[in-house]
Amino acid sequence: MTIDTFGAQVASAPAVRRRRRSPWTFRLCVAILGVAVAAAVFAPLVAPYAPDSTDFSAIWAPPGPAHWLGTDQLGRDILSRLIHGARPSLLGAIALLAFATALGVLIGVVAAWRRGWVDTVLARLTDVMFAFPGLLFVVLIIAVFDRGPATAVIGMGLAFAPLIAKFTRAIALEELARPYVDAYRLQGVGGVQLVARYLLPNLMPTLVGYLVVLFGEGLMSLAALNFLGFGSQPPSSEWGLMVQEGRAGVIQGFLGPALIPGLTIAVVVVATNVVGVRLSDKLAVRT
Amino acid sequence: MLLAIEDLHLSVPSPGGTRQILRGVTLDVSEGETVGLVGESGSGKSTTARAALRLVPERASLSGAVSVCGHDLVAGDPAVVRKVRSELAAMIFQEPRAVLNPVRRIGDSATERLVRVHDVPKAEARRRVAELFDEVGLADTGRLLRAYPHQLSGGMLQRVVIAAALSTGPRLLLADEATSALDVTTQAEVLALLRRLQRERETGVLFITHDLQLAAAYCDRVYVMRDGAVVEHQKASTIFVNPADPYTKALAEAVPRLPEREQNTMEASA
Amino acid sequence: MTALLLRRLGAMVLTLAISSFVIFVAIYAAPGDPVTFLIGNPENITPERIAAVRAEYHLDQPLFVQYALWAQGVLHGDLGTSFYYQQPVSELLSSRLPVTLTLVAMASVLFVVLGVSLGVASALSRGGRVDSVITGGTTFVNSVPNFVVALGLVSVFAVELRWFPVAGEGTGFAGRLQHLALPAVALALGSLALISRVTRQTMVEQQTLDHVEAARSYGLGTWSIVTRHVLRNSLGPVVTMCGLTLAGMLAGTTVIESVFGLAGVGSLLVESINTHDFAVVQAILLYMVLAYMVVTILVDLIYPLLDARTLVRSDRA
Repeated sequence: MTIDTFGAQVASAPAVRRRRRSPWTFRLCVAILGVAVAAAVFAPLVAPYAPDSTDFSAIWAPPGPAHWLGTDQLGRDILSRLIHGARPSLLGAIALLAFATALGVLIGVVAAWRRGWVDTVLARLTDVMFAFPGLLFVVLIIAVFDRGPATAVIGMGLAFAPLIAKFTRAIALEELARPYVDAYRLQGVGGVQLVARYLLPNLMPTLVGYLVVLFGEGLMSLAALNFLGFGSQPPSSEWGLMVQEGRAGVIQGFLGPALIPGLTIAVVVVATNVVGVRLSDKLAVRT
Repeated sequence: MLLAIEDLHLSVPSPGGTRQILRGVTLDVSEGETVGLVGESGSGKSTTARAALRLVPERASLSGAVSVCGHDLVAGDPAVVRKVRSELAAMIFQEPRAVLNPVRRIGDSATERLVRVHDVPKAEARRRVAELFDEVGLADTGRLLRAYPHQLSGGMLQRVVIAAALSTGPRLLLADEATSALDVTTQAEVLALLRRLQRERETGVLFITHDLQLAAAYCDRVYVMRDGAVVEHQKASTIFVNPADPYTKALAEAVPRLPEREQNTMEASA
Repeated sequence: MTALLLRRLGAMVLTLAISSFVIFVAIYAAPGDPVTFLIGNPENITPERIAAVRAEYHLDQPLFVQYALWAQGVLHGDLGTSFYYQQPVSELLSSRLPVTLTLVAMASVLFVVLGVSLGVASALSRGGRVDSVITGGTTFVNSVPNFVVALGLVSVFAVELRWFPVAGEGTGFAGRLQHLALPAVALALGSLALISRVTRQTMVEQQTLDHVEAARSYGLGTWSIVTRHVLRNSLGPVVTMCGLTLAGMLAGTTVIESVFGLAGVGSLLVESINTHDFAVVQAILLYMVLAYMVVTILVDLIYPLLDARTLVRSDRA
């Protein structure tokens, strides 16, 4: 999902696709994610070149033994840039989800716990956020605080928070209806303690599965913002930004610099979705 | 013979092999006759009636013989199935509210089989259905044809369904718990109506119900089914007097202790 | 029906008022003095010049007065003046809108026709090979960011095959159609998964209902059953989903416009953020909220026409 279809996609997100994938697809996807994470962690060790080392004798070089995936308009090695770009790309999506989760879980749990007017107000609030095209928050935040990776993450996080809030509220309500909650209450366990020590840990499995699926969408949305130039700035080799920089080559017939990072995003997103759906099937008895 | 079912077996594939739903059902219905088919839910009585229209699950395997007016349905020749469904037999389902398409007007649903299956011009179909509405005791037919199902009561809807079923002049009616969802008064009215129409048209009726007492009172002959097989077949007048099968006996004896009628009323009003 | 309409319109006016205020305040609170952007050349910044500009744009007034003045202007069709283009914002918007609206209209035709057809095909072959190919394919396409899809389309159909132009919005009806074809496909592809999934899901639910079985019992043909019962009864959710997608698209053409270099509202938004042209940003955000709400209200109004039962429910509510 990209920010373009954000508003519409929102409505279907809870309908987690339940399909049986054969185990080898699942293993392949886990392997892909493993490679992406390894690239993010060990980038300087495994990348053949520095991400910003230019080689003007090899501009727009096709894939070959020196440059496995070719080079871009400044003669930079695409493979190296891709490997170095894993860190900002993945970290951005993680930060976005962390921010959205903190906000969304807080809203959702408080709404489920307090019910009454708190719930009503929060429900209205999330509804209004729902009704807004997701892009608007981001644009507003960026217009106000100027662009940059942090602004993009916060803006996108605000757009994702209502989704998580709604989901958390639903599963928290279900959990709160269970007898152990009353049992702890009768023992005099305070509200905050009960939520933090018993309720949240029990919600975690379900929530994690959902978040993994959202991760793919977060990655795509952030990449789109970076592509528009609202997030990471050069010389970063964040994948969305790489696509943006490689765009000029497409018209001249050099497809690699734009399409390779683009396909990388797509592959990682597909892998996350497969793993996420599988995880939420496994972790959560309910969905 | 309108409907003749002989040694009908039906099974569907299930996770642990196959599940037998019918195990050798034999029954028949003649012109102008009302035949009761009684059993608990899950006994296979509905499946039996549906087999008469070849409304069976996609992957079900059928063996035995089912014929309507001499047309064999087990082979499943599409032309025969179409002829039986559209001309010879009609089914009246239990829940009229579920059977009428909720987003279409009554007139549209009631004339659908004439217009879409028999290519009767729309105006002609509406005229015919309006006449039938009169006959089944529905007043103000013009307004009725324009109404939506949710605007009418269950009793009215069941009359609409009956009128629609009769519109193509079927010779065999399959009434699957056709009055069970109605309250007692309406049930009596609808039954009287069915009886009258049936006499006029010499229609054969397979009357499916879980209510042995009702079947005994309303039908000429009664079959009792259990676990996919017919366990009893008698004249309605004698079934309470000397039930041959222990199961029928149990059903018959259960009546005074657990008055089915009262239960019906409760279900209908709930 | 009228009560429903009035209530929805009331809610819309309220939401518009609130969101316009939020948009206005957010931009007002933005760091940096707009005067510096307004004057542009730092050499021209003199106290007199600053005071003159402040007075011209009412920047010397309190926040609420500024908002009231702005809102009053908006209601009279005056969206302010673009700092960057030195042109009324309303003129700027109306010159950019046709491209965006044509693009969205073309994309909508594509995603409705293709999405619903794929959903129908997939529902009818439920559990079969066609079903899994469609579900898998649309899910995969949905996982590819749309700017990547767009670039892929450009490289294949514009650069390699030269069937379509690489960029620009074209002139004349035919030219515009040809120029906007690839962008529309790129825009529509992202929605296929959602629309086909909703169509499939609703149809599968409808297929098991009693009135479908009843229609089969009186010999209605398969095609008639699908169109008159299953598909017809699925229209409510499907139309709603299509409407919401369309509404989202009206506010979400930015990425596609910027890939294809189209002079639409979305690319204007990016430009005006980059040039701190806040009057334009405000106007576009307002347009996006308005467009989104108008479409969702239209969808709500269409629903009772598709399913008369909802009218009863909403009257009771």
